[in-house]
Amino acid sequence: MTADMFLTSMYGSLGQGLLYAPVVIGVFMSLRIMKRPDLTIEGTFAFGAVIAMTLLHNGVHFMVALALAALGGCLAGLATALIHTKLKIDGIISGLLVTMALFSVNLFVMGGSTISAPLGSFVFAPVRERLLRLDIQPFNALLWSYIIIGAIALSVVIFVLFMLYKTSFGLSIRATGDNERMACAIGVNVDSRKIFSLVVSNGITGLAGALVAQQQSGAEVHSGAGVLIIGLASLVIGEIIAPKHAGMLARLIFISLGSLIYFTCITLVLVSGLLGPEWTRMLTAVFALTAICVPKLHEHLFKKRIEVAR
Amino acid sequence: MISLKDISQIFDNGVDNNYVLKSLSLDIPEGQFVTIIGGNGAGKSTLFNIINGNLYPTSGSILIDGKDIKRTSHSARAALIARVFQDPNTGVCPDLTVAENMALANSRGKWRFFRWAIRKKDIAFFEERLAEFELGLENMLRKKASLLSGGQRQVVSLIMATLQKPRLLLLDEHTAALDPRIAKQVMSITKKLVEEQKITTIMISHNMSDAIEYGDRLLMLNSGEIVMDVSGQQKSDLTPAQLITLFES
Repeated sequence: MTADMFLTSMYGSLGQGLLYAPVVIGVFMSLRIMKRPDLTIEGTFAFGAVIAMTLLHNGVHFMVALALAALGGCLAGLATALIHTKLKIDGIISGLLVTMALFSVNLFVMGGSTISAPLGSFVFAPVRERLLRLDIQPFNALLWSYIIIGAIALSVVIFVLFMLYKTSFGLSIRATGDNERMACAIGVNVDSRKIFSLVVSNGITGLAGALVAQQQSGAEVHSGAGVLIIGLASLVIGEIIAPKHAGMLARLIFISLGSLIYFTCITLVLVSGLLGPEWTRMLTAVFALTAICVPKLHEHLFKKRIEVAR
Repeated sequence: MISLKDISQIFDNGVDNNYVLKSLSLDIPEGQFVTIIGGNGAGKSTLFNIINGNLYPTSGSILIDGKDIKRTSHSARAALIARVFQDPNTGVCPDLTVAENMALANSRGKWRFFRWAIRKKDIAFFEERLAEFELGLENMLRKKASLLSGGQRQVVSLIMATLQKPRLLLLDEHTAALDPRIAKQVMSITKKLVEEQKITTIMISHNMSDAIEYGDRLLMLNSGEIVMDVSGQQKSDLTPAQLITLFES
């Protein structure tokens, strides 16, 4: 393998990591801020991908496609949130129900099981053209357009969330996830905070689905399969490398870095030729498991040391 | 200030009607500090839950400043009523910093909307309030609340509850989970806060001598009824031993 090829695959994983990072942030919002897993993420990701692709297929401008994909994600999140808070059904079941229903919605929206759109209609196209004018190789220009668009989208998401969590309203959302009884006692309407949080996290995931679909030049009903675990693996990797007393902004940035590291690791294994692409899912599972175990292992070793010190 | 009129709470167990509170009436004037004692199942917690809106009474009415709040939602009542819980873990958000916890309490019951959660002048205000008690809590503002000890959490919870003077303060055995020395310290801080701001307070206590020593008026609940209501000289003349005898009768 040449150095060029290696570099190209690294650029590729960088772009992919950036485009997937909003999903990690969506997982972070449900798992770490609200302290409840949200399984809607898988359905929402595919929903966003399908909405965007169908619109692009029909010649709609990519900005409209992205906005409607995010809106679709918000609505899916709203459905889960309402089932959870108003019908008092467990959050995991609510998420599964909505994901299940979205499968049919996706088939209906696409009018088939897969859909694609011309490359020129994608959000990456204008950036790629500018890069081509700068005499960059066509394939590298494409990879760089992923990185640039991914970085822009991620920055916007991180900035908006950081600002949100700094407001009084954002603080009451964090309190709802952290200690619901206390939040109730000081008069926070906890249901509204849960609904808002799920709407936003799924909106972000829908947007990520739309971006990734354009990177993969198509969407299918199974587009969302596995993103939850990819998100979880990236989240935990990011938390391992984050400083212990990181503030909100640092946490958001580090979990995004987690996504970059995750995709780099996967790419390294695949490029090295040790395993074929059919093993990607297995690798994901192993990475996620390892990442989750590292803090536990660390704690285990650390506790032992304290006992010895006594 | 607050009056309960003919409050009954029945838990229907399918066989017969089980009265947790039996047409209980109670009038608490402005600024009074009431302590409540009573055995398990006497109805103390039910009474609190009815006042703070967790439970809707089977019959009767609850008036605060002459207004019936029976239909006021739990979250809307938070504007009037502050609470400190028995479990130190319930009073604060462990993953938020002490300052963030106080910012939350500072906007208790008010609409939390899109303004910065913590402003510079808030920090100075929180520091000042925490420093009053000379426990070094003001240096913990930027630390996560999970790093506080049980006693520190209860003190912070108390300061949070009184940051904006509530119309009514409910203390639900808030020293029960602490060791005796810390419990005494928390009780004296409670007394200071309540007396300084003249807050109308109801405290459930498991400790007979605390119930006699603190507060202006002492109530004993038994099977959902007030069986004793003393104040002033009559109250301070009581001894814990007498109370225990009454308790068992």
